[in-house]
Formats: sequence, C-alpha cells, structure tokens
Amino acid sequence: MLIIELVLKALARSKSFSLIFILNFSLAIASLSYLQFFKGSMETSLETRAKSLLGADLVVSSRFPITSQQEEALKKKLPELKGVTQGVSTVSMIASKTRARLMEVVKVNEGYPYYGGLGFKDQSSYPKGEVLPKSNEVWVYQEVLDLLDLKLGEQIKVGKENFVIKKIIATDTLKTISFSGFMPKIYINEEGLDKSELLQFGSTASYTLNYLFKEGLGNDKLEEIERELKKSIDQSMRVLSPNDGTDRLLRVLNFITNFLSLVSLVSFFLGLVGLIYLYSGFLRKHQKDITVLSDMGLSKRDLSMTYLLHLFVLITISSMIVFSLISISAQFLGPLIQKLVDLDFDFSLDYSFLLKSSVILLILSLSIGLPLILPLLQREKQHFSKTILSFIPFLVLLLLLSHFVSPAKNVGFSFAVVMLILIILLFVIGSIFLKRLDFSGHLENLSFSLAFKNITRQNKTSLTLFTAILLCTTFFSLIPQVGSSLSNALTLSVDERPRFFVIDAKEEQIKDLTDQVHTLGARLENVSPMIRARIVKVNDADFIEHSKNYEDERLKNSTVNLSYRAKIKKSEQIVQGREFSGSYDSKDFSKPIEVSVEKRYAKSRGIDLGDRLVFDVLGLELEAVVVNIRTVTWTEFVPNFFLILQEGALDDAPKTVLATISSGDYDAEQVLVKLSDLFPSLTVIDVKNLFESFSKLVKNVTAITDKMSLYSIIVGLLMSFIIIQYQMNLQKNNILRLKMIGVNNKTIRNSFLIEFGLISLGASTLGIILGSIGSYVISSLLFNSYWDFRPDILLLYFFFIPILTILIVSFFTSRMIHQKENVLFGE
Amino acid sequence: MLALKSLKKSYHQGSQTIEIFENLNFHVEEGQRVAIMGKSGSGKSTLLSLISGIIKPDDGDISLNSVSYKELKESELNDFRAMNIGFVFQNFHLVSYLNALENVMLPAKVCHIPKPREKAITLLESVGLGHRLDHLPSQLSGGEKQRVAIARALIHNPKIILADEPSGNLDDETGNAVMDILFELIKKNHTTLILVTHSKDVAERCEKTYELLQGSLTQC
Repeated sequence: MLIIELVLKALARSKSFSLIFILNFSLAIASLSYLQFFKGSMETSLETRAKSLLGADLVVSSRFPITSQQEEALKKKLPELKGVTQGVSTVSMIASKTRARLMEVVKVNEGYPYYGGLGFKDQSSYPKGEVLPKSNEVWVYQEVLDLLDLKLGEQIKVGKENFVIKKIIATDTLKTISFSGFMPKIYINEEGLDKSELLQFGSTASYTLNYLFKEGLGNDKLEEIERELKKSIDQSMRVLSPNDGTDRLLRVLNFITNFLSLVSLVSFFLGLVGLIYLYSGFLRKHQKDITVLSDMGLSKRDLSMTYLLHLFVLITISSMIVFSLISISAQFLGPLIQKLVDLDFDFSLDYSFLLKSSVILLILSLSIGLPLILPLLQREKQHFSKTILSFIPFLVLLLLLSHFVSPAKNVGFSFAVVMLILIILLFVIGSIFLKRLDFSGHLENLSFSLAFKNITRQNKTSLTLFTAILLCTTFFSLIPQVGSSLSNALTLSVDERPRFFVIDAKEEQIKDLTDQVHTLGARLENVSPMIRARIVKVNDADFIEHSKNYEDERLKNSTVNLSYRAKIKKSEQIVQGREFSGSYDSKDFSKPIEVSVEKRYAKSRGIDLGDRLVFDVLGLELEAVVVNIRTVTWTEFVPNFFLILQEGALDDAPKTVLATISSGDYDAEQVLVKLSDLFPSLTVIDVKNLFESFSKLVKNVTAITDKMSLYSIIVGLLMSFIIIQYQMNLQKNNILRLKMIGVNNKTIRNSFLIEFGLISLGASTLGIILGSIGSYVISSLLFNSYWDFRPDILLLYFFFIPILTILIVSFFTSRMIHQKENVLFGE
Repeated sequence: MLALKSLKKSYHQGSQTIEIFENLNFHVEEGQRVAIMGKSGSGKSTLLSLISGIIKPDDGDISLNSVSYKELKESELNDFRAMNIGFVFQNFHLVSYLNALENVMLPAKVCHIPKPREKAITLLESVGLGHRLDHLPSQLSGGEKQRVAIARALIHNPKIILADEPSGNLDDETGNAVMDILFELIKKNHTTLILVTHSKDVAERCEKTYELLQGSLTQC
C-alpha cells in the first residue's frame, strides 16, 4: 500500500517529467507498435495477394493433358482438398472480319480462380458475382479489341467458331501466370473451347490442375508441399505454389515492411536511450528521498518495487496512449494505405499484440529499471564496467525484440547487432580520441576552453549525444537518397523509356519496320537478335551434371537466349575481362566464339572468366569462351541478355528480333493498329501502363519511407534534446559556481552553445557522409549506379540540425543562467 | 573599506513579508579578519549575498573600497565582484569538470591577470597541492578540495574574502589545517576576511567577532 502511495505521489509531484517521459516513450514505440499491430493484417493481405496471383493453393501444370491416373496419384500426395479444377490454355490465331492476331485462349472454370479473379469494365467481377460465359460468348482483354478493331458485343472468331464478346476484362489477377507471356487473353467456357476445336491432337497447350485445400494453409507450408511433390512427380509436370509468384508489388511491399521495421527499430532504440537518460535523471534528482526513505526503514526491496512500479506505470500510460491512437486511426489508415500501395488490406487489429506488448513492457521496465535503481540503493558509486554489465539483460531483450519485429529472417537481429557493434566501436574510438584531445590548463578563449573541457571530460554524455545525432542524421540522409535513387532508377526519364516492346520480329522485317515506325513519328531502337540455344557443357562437364549442385529448378534449365553484338552497350559495364576482340572470323568454328556473361547469371551458375561453354544451336554444337563478365542496367527496360556472343558467329542462324519503340509525342494507338496491320505476325506490347503504375507505386513507397525517416529524426532529435537538458541540469551547480567566480553569462552561454554545437555539427557532418556513402553503396548494389546525390537535402540537414541544437541549448541555457548564485551560500 | 549603511532587506513568502534586516550598519577595515556567528535562519547567508552584490538591498547602501554598489550597473557590479571578492564555501563548489589547476586559474582568466598558469601552480604548491594539479575535484579529498578553493579565492588578489563555514564539512584536524592555510595566506596578502562560522574556535582566530541576532550585528 505504501508503495502505491509513493508511486502516486511521485507521479503527481513530477508532472513535467512524467509528460516528457510519456511523450518520448510514446514516440519511440509508436512506429514499431503500428507496424506490429498491423503485421497480422499485412501478412494475411500479402499472403492472399500471392495466392491470388496463382489463383489457387497449388497448381500442377503440364504441356500434355493430365491423365486421370496422374490426377489420382497427385491427390494421394496432397492434403485434403476443398476444390480442384482443370485448366487449359492455348495460343491461337484469333480473327475479326478484317484482322487476325496470335492470342492466348483460356478455359474458364466454375468457381476458379479460388483467390483473386477478373474485374470487368462494367464493374462486375468473376468468380464473385458474374456467372460463366455461355458457350457462344467470350470475355476479352481491351487489347484484343484494339488489335482486332472490334467492339463489345461484336463477333470474334476463335478456332472454327464465332463468339460474341460479352465482357471486357479490366483487371486480371492471373495476368502473370500466363502460358504465352505477353499475349492478350480471351476467356472461354469449356463447351465453347470444345466447339472451337482448338485443342486437337498435338496442339501446343498448357494443362493445369488447380488445387484448393480444405485447411487454410500458409504460403510457406504450401511451398513445403510443393517441394515434396516435386520430388515424386513426373518430370514433365511443373508445380507452383503462391511463393513462386514474382510480383513486383509483393517485393516492394516486403521491402517497405522490412525497411519500415528497421527505421522503427532505430526510433525505438533512440527513444529507449532517451528513456534511460530521463529516468536516471529523475532518480538522481530523488536520490536524497531514496536515502531518507531508506534511513526511515523502508527496505531495499520496497524501494526497488516503488521505482520499478513508477517506471512501469509511465511506460504503460505511454503504451496505452499509442494503442488507443492506433485503434482510433485504424479506420482511416486502412483505406489510405490501400490507395497508396494498390493492395486490398483487411485491416483488423491484432489484439493479441496487446497482451504480448504488456509482457514485453513489464520485462523492459525491469531490465531498464533495475540497473538504474539498484546502484542508488547500494549508496556507493558503481564501476562503469559493472554498470555496462548490469544492462546486459536489456541488450539481450533489445536483440530479441529486433529479431521478432522484422518480417525478414535475421534482418532485424543482424541490424541490431550491427548497430550495437557500431555504437560500441564509436564509444571506444571516441573515448580514446577525446582522451588524447584533453589537456591541462585553459585556452585563450574561456568559452571555448569550458566547452572543450566539458566535451572531453563528460565523454560519456558527449559520445551518447554524438551517437544519437549521428544515427538519426545518417538515416535521415540515407533514406531519402536511397528512396530517390530507387525512384529514379525505376522512373528515370520516362521519355527515355520505350513505349512499345516489339517481339518475334523477323530479321527481314526490320528495315521496313524501322521506316514505318519513323513515318509514324517514333524510332525503332535496341534492335537485338535472339537465338534459342541450349548450354550443353561447362568446361567439358555436362551441363545437367553441372547443374545438379543447384537446388533451384530454374538454374537447371539449359535453354538460353543468345544474342550477339559488336560491342558491349554503354549502359553495361565490364567488371572482369575485356571487350570482344572484333568480329568472329573462323568459318569452320575451329576457334571458340567469345561470349560475355552477365555477372549475377555467371555467379549463380558458377561460370568464371575464361570458362569454356558449349552451346547447341539448332543441333550444331558451338564452343565459346567467356571473355568478360558484365553488369547490366536491368532497370532500363530494354532488351538485355545474360549471354552475348561476339558478332559474326551466329549472324546466319535462324533468329527472331526484339526491339523497342521510343516514347514520344505520337498517337500510340495509331502506331499499334498500323503496325499490327502491316506486320500481322509481330507482337507489339504497350509497356507504358506497366511503367506508369509501377513508378506511381514506387513514388508512394518513397513518400512513405521519406516520412518515416522524418519521424525517426524527430524521435532522434527529441532524444538528443532530452540528453542536452539532462546534461545541463547536471551542470546547474557548475553554472552557479562559474557565475560566482565572475564568469559572465555570455561566456557561460557561449560555452554551452560551442559544446553542443560542435557535437551536433560533428555528428551531423559525419552522419551526412556516412548516409551518403551508405546510399551510394546501396544504390550501386541494387540499382546499378543510379545514385541520386541530394546536396539540397544534405545541406539543409547540415545547417538545420546544428542550428536547431543551438536554439534548443540557448533556450535551456537562458532558463538556467538567470538563477541567482547566492543559493551556494549556507548549504 | 567595507561599509554597510542603513541596510534594509526583506523577503516575501506568500502573503507574508519576512524582515531580515531593518537598519543594518556594519563596517570592516582593510586587512581586518571578522567572524560572524549566528543561529540558522538568522540571515548570515543573506548578509554574504548582499556583501557580494548578488542580491540587492531594499534600502541602504553597500560600498567596498569606497565604491558604492548603488552606482554600478548589474554587469559592472558582476565585474567588480569578480575583481574584488573571493569566495570560500562550506561545500567547496569547485567546477566539477575542471581540474585543480584549471579551477584555480579560472578567476585569473576572468580578471585578465597575466601568467595565470604560473600563479595558479605557485598558489597550489603553497597550499601543498603541487602534486595534485591535474586531479579533478572528484579525485580529491574534502581537505584538498577546500585548499584548492582557497587558492582559487586568492589567485586574483581580491580585496576581500567571503568564507562561508569553510571548515563546516571537514573533520577537526583537516578543518584546522585548512584554516591555518587560509589565515596564513590572508595575512600574507593583507586581504580582508569575513568569515561565517558556527565554531567559536575558528571565530577566535579573527580580530573581531559579531553575532547576527534579529537583524543586527552585535560585537562579541
């Protein structure tokens, strides 16, 4: 009872401390709590998204019809089923009265896809809502109408039958699971497909079995089932689970949640340092009370309990405020995030988080409170190393928390470990450096002298403040630069991006195509021959043997697309080896052909400079030698190849040609229609929307990360100011002593401004440099040197942080400096 | 040398006015050593605050070396205090982040006295701390801290030293040793001393002893 009474009194009599504590801790945990609170919904939404890209829990596909025996055998190896559908799709020439194009025809099944579906232009959807098309009806993509010059309700010829276009498809979650890759799709029902007679013996088609399991299984579990199934099924069959979906949005969202969790961790760490400073300041202020209470007979246990409970109450109040804000704002946040990232979020609050958080907060109070309170009860000064040791449980808790808050495996833990190592290094190097700088005596300028003595002799405080400002400035300069580089890499000069991709062109069409495109006001660019081949050997070892070392199925595929060029492109960079020596000149292929290999491709397949590769090009085995390893700017969105041979060797081989058509001020629809008319066999894909929607998403993500970085610096600066205030409170008596000796107010004020200004300037300068180097490294690694240096932002921070620090110090100093020094008498 | 004329000082505590001095007159000659005794709450600290010019009297005047405090602006008064008054406190009040040498050098730096380092070393040697120059206050004993404080109070040759219970926090032996040093240096420099103390033994070392009682100083 006495304990509770003492806690209530401590709360009531230190109102301003309680408010600052609650503000600091609320800010520290807000971002982390938000992320954790919605983690469940995010994960569910992302899992559902991955499933909707596949349409099912598991898909088994084959180029041949799947027999009932095979189906039965598969069923035995799978968990209990809730539903299964047989899918078929094929590629065929589809015609209107005036035109014909190669398109993908897909059989639509009742109730499938189990996840996601089709959205139509008239706002209806399938399978939720719309019924299957009738046997004389089809649903088509808008491109089908554009390419064939048709309208809704008109007839389209599929195989031997004419069908009525019943619906125009606006969105299709299965777009990425496509048999043909890029071709526009036509959906038809089973009877209609039979009537069309497209599927004759020997037709090229894709047959699938789409499974929905009774038990709602997570994507990782489904991936496990996929792996098990792959081991025991016919090699002609492929198995896909939702995790195989390589959706950009998922990758971006995974990136953003990982990234945000790391930034939240930084805010959390900084906030905790602030909390430790604040609370140790509070305890120091109440040290006399503790001594008196102890002398009056209050046991150490009761005293510890009092202050631990006080700390826990403050932490709990802060948490309750944050949790309440989350609950209130959830209804607004859901639609906002949905709009920003184009993902259906089912925003449900994960209330189990509350329980977990309460337990964590209790442990946190203990791990922070005990090392602060116990030394005061011992009434003797504790050795620094002992203080550090007493904080070990707190550090362990931090590492564990970091591990659990980050969605990606080990990212949070590794990040926290790296941060801790950096902080320890900074403290060790900083302490040695400050010790070396120290000297006995005064400088000519007394303000400088006092500032210098304070920095070097209060080195723990100086280094804590330095570290806090350094961390937040590093993040503050790194995040916008990485975001900006990412945004630039993906959206860089939309004018430079192609508007159309031309695939399957024939070599002899290129001249006419170039002329026609020119006539229409655009340019045919990046014309690249493409030759299908197989890798047969790597350094005399059979490729199949060579690839057995790889677990990833994709790496076992020996089929490759080769291209050839006289020189490596400007946007590519040779990282090892040399340029091609010129045109290939051996007519009997007695000399190996020079080949350039893309860096990541080479690394994943264990190919090195100087290795000898044997390709099978239409039955002819050709030997090649790797003369260089190069990096490719994939973000250019132009045809790029993993393997490029020197010019002259494969010039006569049968090939198709890839090219791009530049963006520009021309009528894109007219270009599409005209080219389709003139070159019916050509596939022309409009990629503008692809870039636009993606660049919009990237911009939104960048905006979120920018705001998050701003948030982290606010927490960092707040914590820095708490340290400054704490430090200045400790200096209160020194200020009075200096005043009593006759040091004037201006000199004292200047000494503090110089002290904290120097720390702030040094930390923010180093932070900006480290942040810029970090962003350069990240940009170089991830975005192939699209580093966007932002001197405007950096200069702003360079001035903003020290000036803000100076203003805050001025404010605190002016409050303290006007105290009368006569309180020193008669103590 | 130091003259307090018709000094009046009161404090307000809520609606209550507490009169400390109603008409205090006090005079100290140059080089004189004066002890002031009195019970807790009798106004000793207020008296030292008034003499040092930190607080202003409600009425009356204080003058040191014929300079009236009334005639000085606040900043001038601060400079005047820095130049002419040295302080020794019961709790030493050394600047915690400065070592012994730097603490002693500080008033000399403030008063622009030439060769502050040399003077500080000489003074610290004279108080027996030549081997503790680079030690921070936290590394010194109570007696050592007080000796540093005495050296600091004397480095700029002030006209007067205000000492507030200088041996109050020290054991008898250390206290006596510190007082020996203080008196020896004061005598040597011909500095005036106003010493507030509860100890009769310490007071007896001074030429005059006053008791502060109900706002008046009475010579014992």
